[in-house]
Amino acid sequence: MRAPRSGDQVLIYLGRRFVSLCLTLVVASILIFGIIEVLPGDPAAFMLGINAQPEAVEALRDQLGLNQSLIARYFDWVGGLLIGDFGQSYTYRVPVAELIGDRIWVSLPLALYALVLSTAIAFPIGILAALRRGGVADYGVMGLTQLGIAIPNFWFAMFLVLIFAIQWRIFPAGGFVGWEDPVAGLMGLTLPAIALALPQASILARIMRSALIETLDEDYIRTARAKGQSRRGVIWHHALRNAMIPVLTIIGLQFSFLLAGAIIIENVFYLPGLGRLLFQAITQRDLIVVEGAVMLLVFSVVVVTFAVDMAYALVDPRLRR
Amino acid sequence: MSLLDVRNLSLRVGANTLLKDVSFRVSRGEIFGLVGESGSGKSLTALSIMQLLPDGMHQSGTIALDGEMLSDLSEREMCKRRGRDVAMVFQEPMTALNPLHTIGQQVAESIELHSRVGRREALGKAADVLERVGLGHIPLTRYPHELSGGQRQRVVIALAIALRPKVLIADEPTTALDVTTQAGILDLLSKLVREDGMAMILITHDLAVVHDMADRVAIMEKGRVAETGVTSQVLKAPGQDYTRALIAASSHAPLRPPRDGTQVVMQARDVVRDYALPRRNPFSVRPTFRAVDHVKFELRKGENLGLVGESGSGKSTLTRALLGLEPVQGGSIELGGKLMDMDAARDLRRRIGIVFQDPFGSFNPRHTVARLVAEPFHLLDRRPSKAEQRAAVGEMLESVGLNATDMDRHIHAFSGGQRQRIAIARALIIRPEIVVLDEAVSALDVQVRAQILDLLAELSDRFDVSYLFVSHDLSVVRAITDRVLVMKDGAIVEQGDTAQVFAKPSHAYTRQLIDAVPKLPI
Repeated sequence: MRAPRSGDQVLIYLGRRFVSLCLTLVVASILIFGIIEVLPGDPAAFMLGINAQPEAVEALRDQLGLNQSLIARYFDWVGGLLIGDFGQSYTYRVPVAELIGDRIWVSLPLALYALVLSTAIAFPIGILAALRRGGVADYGVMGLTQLGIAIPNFWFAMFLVLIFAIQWRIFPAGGFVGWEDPVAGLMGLTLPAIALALPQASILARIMRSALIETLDEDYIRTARAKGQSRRGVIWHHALRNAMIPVLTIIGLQFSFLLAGAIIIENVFYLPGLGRLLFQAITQRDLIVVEGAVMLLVFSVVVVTFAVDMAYALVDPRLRR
Repeated sequence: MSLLDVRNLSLRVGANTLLKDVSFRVSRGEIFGLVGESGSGKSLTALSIMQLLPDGMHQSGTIALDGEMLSDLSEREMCKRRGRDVAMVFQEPMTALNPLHTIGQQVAESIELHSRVGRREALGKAADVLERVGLGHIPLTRYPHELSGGQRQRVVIALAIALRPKVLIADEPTTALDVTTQAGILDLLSKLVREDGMAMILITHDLAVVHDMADRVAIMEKGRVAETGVTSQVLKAPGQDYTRALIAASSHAPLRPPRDGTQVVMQARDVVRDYALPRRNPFSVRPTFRAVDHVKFELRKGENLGLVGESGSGKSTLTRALLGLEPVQGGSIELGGKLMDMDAARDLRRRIGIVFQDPFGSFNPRHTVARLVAEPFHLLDRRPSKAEQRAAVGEMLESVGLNATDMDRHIHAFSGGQRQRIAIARALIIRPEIVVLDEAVSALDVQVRAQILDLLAELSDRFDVSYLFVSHDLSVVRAITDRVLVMKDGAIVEQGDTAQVFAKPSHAYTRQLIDAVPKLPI
């Protein structure tokens, strides 16, 4: 049997991934819509308060489109999503897209910032620990990362505020001034990004270390050494790229977590991010905002997973078949 | 003057001595065999020459290459010698290459590390080297996973000889390969030695390979050199008992009365196994690969039947189908007249036992030997009581040459040979009519292998059991089987009495297989 050309194989691989990406989104939209619909609590009644007249509630339900059939409402909602119309917020009476749009400019940069920091910390110390396996540096890294995983990020957050905002006054203690002044915006996100990044970096450094140690025991590393590669040379030329597969997987998972999971940090630093929006929407039964925000998060997770899959294919030729 | 001079090489880890006073010399253009069983220190000797020992080992003695003391060089200096002056080929071609780099890159890396040439020039030279090892038809842009085992081993050889080193160390270079592939690789190595005038150290456990290849040989035993000399003399007139024992074990054939039972215990009729392959595009018909192609044979009571073939010949697939672990697309397999398939009931499954190749991987390390050996009891209609089970396990362990008291120990306490005895005990505990031995002695050292073969012969008489002996190792099949099936590309190309098939093979492929096996002079 003759193998097809490798370019075709990459396309087939990515095509398959793309189809599964679309299917995931369809299934997710059905689940999100379904679960939120079966939750108890009528948003119309909630918006009008306990003493509202039943007629008024009924009128509002009509106005919000809540009296249509489930299927019709699902297709309305999905059709809207496709053209960027997320509907009207029940509580704020503004388009959901606008609400989310404002918040995403805080959450997305924050997540990216934290991810860059976490990678920048994790790679060097993970590599160092693997190189000095069993030595002082290794024990140091393992101990520190153990602490980093064990201590919750809001504690780091408070600690950072205490040192860098109150004691030394380098960074602001909270709030976000917007991107009109990019430097000020970045300064405002720095402490939250560090607080988010430290636990993530601890996990990533450990994954890096164990993946690298496993790779360094492979036969092809010995082959490379027998060619005359130095200890350092085999790391750069052979081990690192082979160790990247588990590391990439974790980076992908961490990005998704950082985008949605920053809610506590957003609260500590008083940042107007997606997490806080979502939290407020849930407490106010603003279901249409919840649906939109969750759908957006699912979309970003799926897209990141797709990007990670593409990165796998770049790293590993065996996946291109 | 000799090119490589190893003197009083000793290795310690803590209080353990791994090598003791190993000394030998190798001259230019010479092939020097280093022979011994696993754990005898052959590979450690090689890694000492390369100065690539694992951390924590303490080395003493001297290693001189062309008058230069390798053992005194700094790591930085040694990096310049590795690959340029002394190079190494490893055993496992499937894992010895970086899966993420093309074969061109990997050969070019050897060249780039030791000379000031650009990438393009290095790749040009890599193409020449790959041509030399017989891979001229393979593009440089191929990745290792796109090549066969033999081709990969040629790439490994190419990157080792790219700079025409003075000494090439080949550590079991053909152990993981089929016999015909092995013959090609051995030919290539001796051609390279002849053309380049380099010295080669050939490490192997196979005396026949050494006999074919090496000018001189050192026999290693437990970290020391037991005997060294000109190969033909050492093999013809060994000076040491250990060498004599090794030679005897290599060509050992157990004494067993020939069997010609008439009762058929297993019958395969036109068995076909097709695998579905991935579609080329979403609209095409799904292509299939025929792994087993209309195989028919019968196994008689008390008979030892061999099934030989190279990797990819379909013998593993056929074996799984015979065990009822794989669906078949045509034909039938019958045990004592009843159909054996994926849905076969316990009363059929208990008629057949299995011993696998890997004495380390085929046991759950957390269970005691008693529990491991007693496992097949669940196939019986009435499960014996705990006490009965223990009594049966104890008796069985004694039958395979272990002690009944071993049953409360865990598997890690046993050597490879002992584990294989335990595997045999497990296969025989419920007295099946048939035992399938899937490469059951391939991972064992020659002396242990000889003992296990004797044990199998004895047990087949005692329990009147039939063996299906699946192996790529023709010498073992020749030693223990009555009849043999030769499999190629999914089909049985020849079957008949073992002695007859080996003496007068009728199919060209069988002849090719038999000719490819290196032989010891007897």
